[in-house]
Amino acid sequence: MDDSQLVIACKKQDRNAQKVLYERYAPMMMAVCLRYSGEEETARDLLHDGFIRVFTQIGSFSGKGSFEGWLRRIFVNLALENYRKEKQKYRFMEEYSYINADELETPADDALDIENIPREEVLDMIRNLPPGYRTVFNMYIFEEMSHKEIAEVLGINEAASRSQFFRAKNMLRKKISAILHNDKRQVQ
Amino acid sequence: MSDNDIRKEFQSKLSGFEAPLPPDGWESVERSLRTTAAARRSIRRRWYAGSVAAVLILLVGSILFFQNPMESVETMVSETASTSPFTGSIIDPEIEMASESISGPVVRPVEAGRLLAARSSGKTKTGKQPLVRSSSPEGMLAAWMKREKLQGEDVEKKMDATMLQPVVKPGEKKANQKGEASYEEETITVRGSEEILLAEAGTAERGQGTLLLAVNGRGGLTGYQQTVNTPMTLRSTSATPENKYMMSEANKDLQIQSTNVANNVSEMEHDQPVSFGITVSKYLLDDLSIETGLVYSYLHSKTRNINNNFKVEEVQNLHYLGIPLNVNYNIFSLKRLNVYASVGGMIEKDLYGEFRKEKEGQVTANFNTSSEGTEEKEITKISQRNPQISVNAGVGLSYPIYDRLRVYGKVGGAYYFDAKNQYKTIYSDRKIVMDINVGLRYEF
Repeated sequence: MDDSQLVIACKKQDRNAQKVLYERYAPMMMAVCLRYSGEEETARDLLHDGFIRVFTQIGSFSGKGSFEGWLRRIFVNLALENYRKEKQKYRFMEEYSYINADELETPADDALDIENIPREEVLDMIRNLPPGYRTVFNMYIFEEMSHKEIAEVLGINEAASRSQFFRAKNMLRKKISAILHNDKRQVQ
Repeated sequence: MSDNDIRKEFQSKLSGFEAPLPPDGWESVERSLRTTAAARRSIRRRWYAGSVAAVLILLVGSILFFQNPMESVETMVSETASTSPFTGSIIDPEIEMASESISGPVVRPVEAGRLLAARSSGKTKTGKQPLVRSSSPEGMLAAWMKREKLQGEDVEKKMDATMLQPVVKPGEKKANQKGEASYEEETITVRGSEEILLAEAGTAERGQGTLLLAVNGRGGLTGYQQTVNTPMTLRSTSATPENKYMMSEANKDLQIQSTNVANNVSEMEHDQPVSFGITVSKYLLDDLSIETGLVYSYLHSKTRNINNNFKVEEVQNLHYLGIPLNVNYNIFSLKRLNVYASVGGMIEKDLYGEFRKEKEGQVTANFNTSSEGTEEKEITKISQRNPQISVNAGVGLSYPIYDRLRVYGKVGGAYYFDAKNQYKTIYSDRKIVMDINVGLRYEF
């Protein structure tokens, strides 16, 4: 059963088709949820709520674009809603400060070389970023949004989005460097 | 390394990546889907049921009200005529005295077909049949069926009225003689038909067919005020084509003003509408009544357009007369205070209207005239082309102040449909008007 047939059956609330759709896309969507949430429990909740939303709103899918893209947007939107709800908690922990001058100094080796790092570890690195950095990083890198768009969606200013992305990159760079360094030691 | 390179690298790394699922993932989703579907079905069912009930209530109410509006009056007259000779023989004077010593409408004229028990108070029941509360759904149904049955038998019973000998059972007489402050249902047997009827105390107070006459006043809770830079007029742009020509003529001043919008200040104000009315209600069931009548409303509006050269003021007074049609339902009673809900609609038409316009100011040099001040006054009689239709809903309280006279107050709101009339009113500009309605209601 291809996606279009699956969607038609799901629009008729066919429970078997819904199950097939879940089994086909849930692992991929779980990865999206994990990328946006630090805790696995939150990711599970997002996955659950996301599929409920998918099955209740599937009637609005016109069938013109990619179904996977539509599905993914639902999960990303849900993750962003969750972030906005939780934002108050994070407000004092991070990150709405602007970048200090010394932070702006780009390290000599500014590459983010993740080629030799397993996917699970890359995902963990992103998940371990502070919530604000993580959200901006995900939106900029994976959803390909501009800082202006990110600022609008998150209700922050553009400069704050840039600074958080910048800090996210720096944190990742340090983590990558530490992983690669450990790997070299282990090889030696 | 540019941001784009980072983007590509991360995207390619995690593209198509699949994470392990929670063990009961699908089961949990399925459970929630079932619950959601059930909740949706329930909401949909309630919505359908509510809609059907509302339509039925309005339909049945309208049919009953309009089918034979004079029937109840005629019946009452004939009831009095046919039953007055019996009153003395049916009710023992002692019983009557005992009954009358209790407040409220105690003894009603008893007819052969419709036997009303004397009202008493307390909780003792002497009737042999189980008590069915008229305020409960079963009671309402029973009352409805009883009424229908009685109506069918009215004619026959009246014919035989002189032959029937109602008897009050000795036990009841004794109870009443003792003057116990007891709530009673009396069983009255009509010899010949052996029919036993029960009437619950309190239902006689507000029986089906009871008429209520009310006088009321209504005032809007909010007015309407708007201040803008562009010129405004009370003449609507949604008027019919022939009015548009008139509008363009009439609003020439405003067009002149609009050439200098930056200096222009325009205010429009609709006062809260004030209404007075007289209505009549009829109980269809114990707690459900339908109400109609005549309602007068006064609407006052004004605009003021001021700029460096001109000052134009418009004042508009409209007097409307409307016919409301409402269904009132008594939700519950707290001792003597009744709480009720009301839904309905009203159609209104203006009887008289006046439009006053005052212009004063200087014409600018652009028009090659002197800069002397001018002043003009214009008063015209106006009328709206289309009737105004509205729907309303509200919650009210009523409380007895003397005998069967009750004071009542209702807070609610009305939605006014666009009547596409030439002159703007609070109805056309605000659409939803919250109001408070107070009045006096007399029960016949």
